[in-house]
This record gives sequence, structure tokens and C-alpha cells, in this order.
Amino acid sequence: MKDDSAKTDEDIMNLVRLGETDLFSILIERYEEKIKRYARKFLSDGEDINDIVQDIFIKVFINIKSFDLKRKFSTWLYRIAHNELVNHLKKRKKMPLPLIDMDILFPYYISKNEAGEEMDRRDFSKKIESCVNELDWKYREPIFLYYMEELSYKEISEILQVPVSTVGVRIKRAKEMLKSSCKDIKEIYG
Amino acid sequence: MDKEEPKAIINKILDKVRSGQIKMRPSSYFILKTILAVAVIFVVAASILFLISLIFFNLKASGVWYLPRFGFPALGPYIKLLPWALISAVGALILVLEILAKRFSFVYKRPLVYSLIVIALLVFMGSLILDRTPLHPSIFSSQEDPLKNPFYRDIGMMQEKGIYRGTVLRILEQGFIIETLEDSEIEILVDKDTKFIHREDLEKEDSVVVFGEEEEGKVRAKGVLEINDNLRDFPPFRPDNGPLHGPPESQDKMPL
Repeated sequence: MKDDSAKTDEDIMNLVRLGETDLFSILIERYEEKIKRYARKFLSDGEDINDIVQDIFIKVFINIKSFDLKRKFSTWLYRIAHNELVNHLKKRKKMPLPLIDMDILFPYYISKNEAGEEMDRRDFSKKIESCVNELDWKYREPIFLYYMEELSYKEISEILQVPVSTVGVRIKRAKEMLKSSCKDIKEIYG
Repeated sequence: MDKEEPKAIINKILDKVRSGQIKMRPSSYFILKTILAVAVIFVVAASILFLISLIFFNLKASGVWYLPRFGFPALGPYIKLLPWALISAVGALILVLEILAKRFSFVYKRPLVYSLIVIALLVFMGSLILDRTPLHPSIFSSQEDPLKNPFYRDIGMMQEKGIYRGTVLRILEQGFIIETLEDSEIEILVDKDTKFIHREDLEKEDSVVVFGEEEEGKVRAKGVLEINDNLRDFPPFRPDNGPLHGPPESQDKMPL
């Protein structure tokens, strides 16, 4: 019996495309909890996360042949999840109107040391978990993906389809906001 | 309970896959989608080029393009007479182009201002090139009544605003007569206050733009500019338009 669970996401995607559709379950198992956690950060408690997560995986399956196997599956999955959540929030009129965003308009300098790490990313993510929901959507999403999902600026840039410098500036601003509003973070920075 | 939920989603999706309720879209669908997106981008870009070259053509053909040459008094009318509806349409289409182009990573990975500058430069340069081709003069000339065409309607309306472009038909003692795009003849009166902007004496067949005010069926010129653009022979000078009526012809040249 083959052990497909040891294969990479991209290898499994290739096999699913070639017709081994049951292997899709491995990808769902690997990412279901992550996508649920991601969705929970943007949806209210009353909304059915399971339905939305199911829709996200169905979209992944339907569009599987548009996936470029040279790219990373997780980034592509989060991109689909991002679009699905944005569409869901737009339907519920919970998404602000897309006005011109200065963060996207102009270039910004960002430090090579992503987010200027003062402490371990995992420790920081635990501290901000309770406060991150207080942030606006545009700051909440990059800081969540960076600290809780441990994605790089480049990956977040591809998910949100914004320049890398915009991701950097949003995370920096989000941290500044959390420093002034989040009790756990205030304790660290005094 | 929590441990059962993931399995429930997996099972639901696999059931739908096995029963054929959900199917993978074929590769050809995505190829067609990309081709369609590129085609739409091409159509929008071509529309922008067409509209900008139309703006240039309309401004030149109506004479408004040359108004700043008459100095400060003409600046107000110049700004007022710019085709703002067409300019707004071009601005809106550039935004549409930017939104369409954002699906490509080489666009969204860079700040918006870069792609906007590149798009604006490309369409502006393309329009300048298009402006040097006979595209609009050909379209204009091929129409039976071009000034009724919504694209070119503004050209015919500039006379009401005090801008007259035409070809000198005859030189008179106190001015000259021009033939306009509408094939009408207008007598231009000049006096010591008229500002002449041309290198040589005004002669028959010269193309001119006159900035002035209508006075009892004639135009008192505040400024006269001899022009030599790529619309120089547009519309073609027609010396055989029949007998001319009006004041007696005095000379072939109007000295400066």
C-alpha cells in the first residue's frame, strides 16, 4: 500500500489532477484546521464556518488545473480562501468599500528583518491572539498570516495580491496599534 | 464533536467528487479565460489610445489646442473648452485597465503608482504616435456629415465659443475671409489691437486659428495664429467652391 501522506502538497495536487481524486482528502486533512482558524478571524461566531471552509475546498478542487505546480500550494489555497471570505463579507455588507489605499499606491521601505523581531514569532502570536480581532480587516489579515500562520511577507503578498512593502507597512502599523491597545503586548513593551 | 467535524467536510466533498456533483474545470477553460482577459485589456487599451488621439484631433481641428498661444486672456476659455467628458472617460478607462492588469503578478507586486505611471506613459506615447497618423482625418473625411457624429460634434461648436479654424480664402482691406470645416465663409476683421502670431505675411490658403468675438455677422479678431500642423490640408482647400460673396478683395497678402 502506498504511503501518500508523506508526499508534498504539490505532488498530491499533481496526482489529483491526473485523476487520483481521493488523494484530495489528504490536502483537506492537512489544511482544514488552518483554514477554519483563518476564517474564524474574519467571521462572527454565529456564521457557519464549516460551510464556508467546505466552499473553499470545493473551489480548490474545481480550479485545481489552474494551479501552477511550481508554486506553493498553501499560498494558492490561502488566496482562494481570502477571495471566498472577501466575497462572503461583501454579501453581508461587512466589507468596507474599496477606496484608494495609500498603502498600495506608494512604495515603502521595509527592513530586511521582517517585522523587526523583538521576540519569537510563536510567543508573540500567543500574546496577540486575543487582541487581533480588534484590528481593522486590512491590518488583521497580514498580522494573522504572519504570526499565526507563520507565512513570509512574500507569501502574504501573493495571497493579498499587494506589494511586499505594503505587507511590511501593514504589519508594522498593526503591531503599533496592538502596542497601544492590547494588554498583553503593553506588558512586554512597558 | 470537534474531531468529527473535519471528517464530515472531507466526506461531503469526496461524496460530491465521486458522484460527479463537482468536477475539475478543464485546462482549456483557464487558457480561454486568460486569453479573454488579455483581449479585454487590449480592447480597453485600444479604446484609450483612440480616445486620446480623438482628443488631440478635436482640439487641433477646432483650434482650441492653440489657444494658449494667445496668452493670458485665452487661458480661461482654453480650460473651459477642453473636452472634459472625453478626458474623464480616458481617466476612468485607465483605472479599468489598472484593475484588469492587477490580475498579473508583475503588476500587483509593485506599488500602484508605478503601474499607473507606466500605463499613462504607454497610452500617452501611443496616442502621440496615433495622432501623427491620418486615422482621424480619414474617419472625419469619410463621413457624410462628420460634425453630426458625436465624436466630432464639439469641433463644429467652437465657433459659438469664439474659436474659428479655417483656411484663408481672400485677403481684404480690413481683414480676411476664412473657409471653416463646415464649408461656411466667415469674414474676420482685424485692427491695431489684434495680436498676430505668425512668421510671415498671411496669405491665401494659409491655415489659421482666430480667437475673437462675433459682431454683426463678422468676427472681430483678438488674435490670429497661422498654424502648420499635420491637419494643414484638412479639410482640403477647395478653390472651386463657386463665386465668393462679400467685401471686395484687396490683395493676396496681409502684411504684418
